[in-house]
Amino acid sequence: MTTRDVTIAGFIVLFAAAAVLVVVSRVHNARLAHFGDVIRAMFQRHVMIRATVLFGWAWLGWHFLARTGA
Amino acid sequence: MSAEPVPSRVAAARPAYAVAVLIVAYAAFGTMLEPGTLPSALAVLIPAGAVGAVSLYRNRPVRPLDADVAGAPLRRSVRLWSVVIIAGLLWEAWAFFHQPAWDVANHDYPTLSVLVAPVLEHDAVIFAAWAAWLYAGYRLVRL
Repeated sequence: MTTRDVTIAGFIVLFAAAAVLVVVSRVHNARLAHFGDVIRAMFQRHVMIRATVLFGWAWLGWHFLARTGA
Repeated sequence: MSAEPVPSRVAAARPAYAVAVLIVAYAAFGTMLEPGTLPSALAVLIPAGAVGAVSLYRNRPVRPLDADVAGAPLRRSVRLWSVVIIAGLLWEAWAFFHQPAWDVANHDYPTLSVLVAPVLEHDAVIFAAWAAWLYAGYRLVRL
């Protein structure tokens, strides 16, 4: 297994973990809150946390839609 | 002579349909733009600015969480999502700092951007990415 394979496998594991969290929160919502509830809770905390979430969303658009692509 | 009453479920669904049409239309518009140009930058910055302004400067408070979710389930979810997101950021940073320069990819340590770039060459994928990004922004405004 090459270093490249390990790097890619790491991303796959992380995406799989995120997918598992989404599915488990849908099936067992009484035990695990939805991702949307986590974001909502963060928005209720502090304006800087809200700004950080918004910046992350905006950066994703900038990086993947405006700067790169076809 | 009075106007025929509109069924309430249809009336309630109208704004959602309007948003869906708007998102699809804007995603199609964004898909047509050449990446790395001023129009594509503006196409991202305009909705980003609008969502940011509405979210940061609105008067309406964020809708409270349901009581049955606000305690242990939320704490558990915050902990687990924090682990996944921080691990993702560290893994991306690990790959990024192995690059010979910030804009030169390392074959052995590909970043997520490098891995995703070939997929983003397909119009259908770009359209889906635009639609998903815009929908996420809409959800942030609606919190």
